[in-house]
Amino acid sequence: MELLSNLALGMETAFSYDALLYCFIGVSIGTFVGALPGIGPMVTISVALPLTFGLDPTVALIMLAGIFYGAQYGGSITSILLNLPGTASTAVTALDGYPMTKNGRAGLALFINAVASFCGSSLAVLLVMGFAPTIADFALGFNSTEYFSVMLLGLIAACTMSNGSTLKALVMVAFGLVLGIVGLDLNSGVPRFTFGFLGLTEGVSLISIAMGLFGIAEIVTKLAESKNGGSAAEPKVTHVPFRDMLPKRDELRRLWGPILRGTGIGSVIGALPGSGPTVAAFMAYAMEKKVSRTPEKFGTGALEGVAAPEAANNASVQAAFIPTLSLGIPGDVVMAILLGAMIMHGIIPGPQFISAQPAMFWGLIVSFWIGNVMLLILNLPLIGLLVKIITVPARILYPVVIFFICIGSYSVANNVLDVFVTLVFGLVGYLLLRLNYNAAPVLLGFILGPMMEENLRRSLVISRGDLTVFLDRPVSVGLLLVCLLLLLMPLRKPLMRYIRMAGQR
Amino acid sequence: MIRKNDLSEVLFAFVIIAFGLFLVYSGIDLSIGKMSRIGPGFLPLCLGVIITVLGIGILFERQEKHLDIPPNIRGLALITLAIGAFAALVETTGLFPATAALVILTALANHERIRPLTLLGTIIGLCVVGYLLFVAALQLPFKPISPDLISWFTGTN
Amino acid sequence: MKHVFKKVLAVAAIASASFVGNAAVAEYPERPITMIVPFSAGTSTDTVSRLIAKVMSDNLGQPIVVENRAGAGGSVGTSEVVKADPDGYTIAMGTVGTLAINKSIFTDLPYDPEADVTPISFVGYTPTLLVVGADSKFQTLEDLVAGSKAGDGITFASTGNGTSTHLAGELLKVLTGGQMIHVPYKSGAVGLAAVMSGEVDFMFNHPVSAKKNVEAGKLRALGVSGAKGSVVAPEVPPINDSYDGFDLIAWWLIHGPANMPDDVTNKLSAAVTAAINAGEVREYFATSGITEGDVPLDGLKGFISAEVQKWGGIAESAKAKAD
Repeated sequence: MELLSNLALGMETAFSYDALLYCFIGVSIGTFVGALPGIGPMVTISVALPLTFGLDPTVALIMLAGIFYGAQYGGSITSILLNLPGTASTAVTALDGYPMTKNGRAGLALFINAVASFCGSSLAVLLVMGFAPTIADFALGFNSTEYFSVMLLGLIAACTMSNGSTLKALVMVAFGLVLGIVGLDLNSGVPRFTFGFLGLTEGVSLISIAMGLFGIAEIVTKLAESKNGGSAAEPKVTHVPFRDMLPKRDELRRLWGPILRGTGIGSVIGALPGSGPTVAAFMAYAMEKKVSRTPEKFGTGALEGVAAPEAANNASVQAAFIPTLSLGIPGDVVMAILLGAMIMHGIIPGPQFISAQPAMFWGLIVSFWIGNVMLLILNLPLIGLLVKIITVPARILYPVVIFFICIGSYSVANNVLDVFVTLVFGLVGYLLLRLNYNAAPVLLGFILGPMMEENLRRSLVISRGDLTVFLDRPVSVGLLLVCLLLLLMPLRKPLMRYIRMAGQR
Repeated sequence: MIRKNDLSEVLFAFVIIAFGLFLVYSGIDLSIGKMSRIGPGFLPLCLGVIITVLGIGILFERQEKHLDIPPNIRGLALITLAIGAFAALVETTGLFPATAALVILTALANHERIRPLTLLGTIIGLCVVGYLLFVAALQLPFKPISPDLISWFTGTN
Repeated sequence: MKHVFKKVLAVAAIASASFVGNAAVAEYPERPITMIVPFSAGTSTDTVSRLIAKVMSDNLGQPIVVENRAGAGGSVGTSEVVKADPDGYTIAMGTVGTLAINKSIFTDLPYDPEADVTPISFVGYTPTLLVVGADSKFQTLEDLVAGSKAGDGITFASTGNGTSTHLAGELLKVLTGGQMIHVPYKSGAVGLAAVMSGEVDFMFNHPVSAKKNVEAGKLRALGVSGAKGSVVAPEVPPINDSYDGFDLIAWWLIHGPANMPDDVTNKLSAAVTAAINAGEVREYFATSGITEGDVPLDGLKGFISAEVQKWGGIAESAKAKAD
């Protein structure tokens, strides 16, 4: 009953004219900047922040939050169409989304993206509504040994991510881990692999790696294809009829599982302070591939490979509001900015925020739903228009894309060094592509590596060097057992054969 | 053709091994620490060992089939120049000259012919979009054209 | 083709030249001023800077453009400012990190905060709160210190090696002689979560976010880092009362490159002072626990030197060298 009266209060706030208008402005801006390669919600929110001063704090927050989750929708568009991740978390979507475009199914990929994003967000909002304080307490209880175990699990799952040579995939994961080391060491303050560049002390930017390895490498390859009289694999899409966009009935049935699993993973990961949508998307993808009956189809345009990470990254974005709103602990940088925005408007979130400011909390929650409906309505009709991007002739498209890549990498820290770094990764990416190395695991290694190292070292500092600390808590033990199981899985068949043979003897 | 590919694979495996050994060296250099306070060199060292072993593994691994498109050295070189030129010019001469350089060099990388008018249109279009979107709206610290360049052009101080 | 390009460039050049104006000296400021913020957008330093810049530009009649140049604990942005022309058109938001701590943490810092900087105006400062989790067995600062001297000692969270929150913990260790083990975190928020859950024993944290959780019974505040106490939590005693010599604050100070002309510095300084006294800035300072500046313009050089000395001493004893 209390929930109902709260919801009513929230609706009253969120359905006011101003709230609706600014929610719409927020999600529209969000989708747009999300689609720009490299430009993410962070720079947009910090620019928009001073513009919200005159507004009612709730309305201001509704708009700023709209930019954040709207960007998750937009970010996948260029990932799917051009193999160019618009935001870091949508790099995973490119793994299967771009092959779908190559197979002439760009419309369907965008459709799945929109629907999976919508489902992921909406379901996660339900969780936030019902269980925000409970989830916050659960997330708070996660200590460094458990963080380490989660990251290890993600990493082991990652090794199974690409098809082809396992050795090559492992080298790529390790390469990603090395890239994650670059920068000042958190524990000792010593710079590692910065080669004297001050601009590298805070690490290599994920945007540079993703746009270089995928975007630039892809363009250089394409340029060579056009020289050889164009590629036969490249369909000339000029028109996508509406029904081509819709999944077939059996395809639709296949999508529910990935969406629900993605949402689950996204909600849990999103609520943990310090992780974020990128980790969520990768974990969901790896998990989907593990449970799939046709794992070999991943990477060649599997629908599940688009649906799961999209549901996960959108769910995690909504869940990320849980620790921020219910404890005043922002899980990532964007959340920290939103927290800053609240403080600027004179509101300080903390454990009493929900009871002290019910109109604001519930208004915000209801606005998430409204915003997601708006995003769905906004995105579906745009699909027909968006797929036309790939019909733009290469001679115009490529300069435009390279231009956005350059500015996008620059905008991360307003530093030209990042543009050069992107270029270096473009060259590396092209080399890897030619030598049959799949670059996707690099990203996961890069994201998980620093968190894994950080939490390993932290656990051991706190336990004064006692390794058994990892076996002290049930969650950690459970996660480590799953890791062990994953590692032993490939040995199962030969082991069974051995046992059978031993039995015969 | 196939031979050449095999050679490049083998060479790259050696690059991987060298990279692994470099990591081992840097790891030791950075200090490994002790169990209660693991040093900054611990992870690099571990990764170095792993990468070296994997590299040796790849050296002996049977290779799969390859792309049979010859490497696009020209495209790669010109795209490198395009991005490099943009990075070098954008803070020194301003956004517009950097954009022009980027578009012209990228166009050269492409084998499709492009008409000068289309090229000019692309440059102007991107300059306008770049200015409105990135400078005016998103407030990136670019100057459209650097004042130094203007004074150099007009010959005044 | 090239010809057309040149023409376009020339037209554009003339067009922008009219913005820029001639180099002839007129009343300062005659064009937009750039304020470099050496941290990324959305950080507390960024928020303070944008607010001050907005009010200042109303007073000066010229826009102040805020540029974020993050990296290496603020060293990247600060080294850019000290290289700029000292004409008053490039200024920066300096912090306790960029103008004091970094000097003893980075051995190859590309600027000297004492020699390469013209201080313009003090902005404000905030002390930090020493907090423990609600379930912690330590009820008072004395308990905490006693605990640190028993058995394995205790742990404290920080926002990274060589940051003010790390050095504050090290200073407490030096003054009390206890065994306090440093556990760095990526952000203050994540560290605070670890203190709440009891994984780490204590932390020095920004007073505002800590205070809310103290009120909700998730944390307990045992002391304030500044000798003058905190405006947000006046009931919490300064650590200095028990351990003399413990007086650490985080502060903000607007500065330019060395050798700025006095009239420009004075004009800017007056504009900052006016901004700090403006209603919206006062309001923001009050909610975020910042106390407005109380160091006069001619005392700023001495203030910076004293801070460099003080933090250098702590870093020395903590051996928090970050090469």
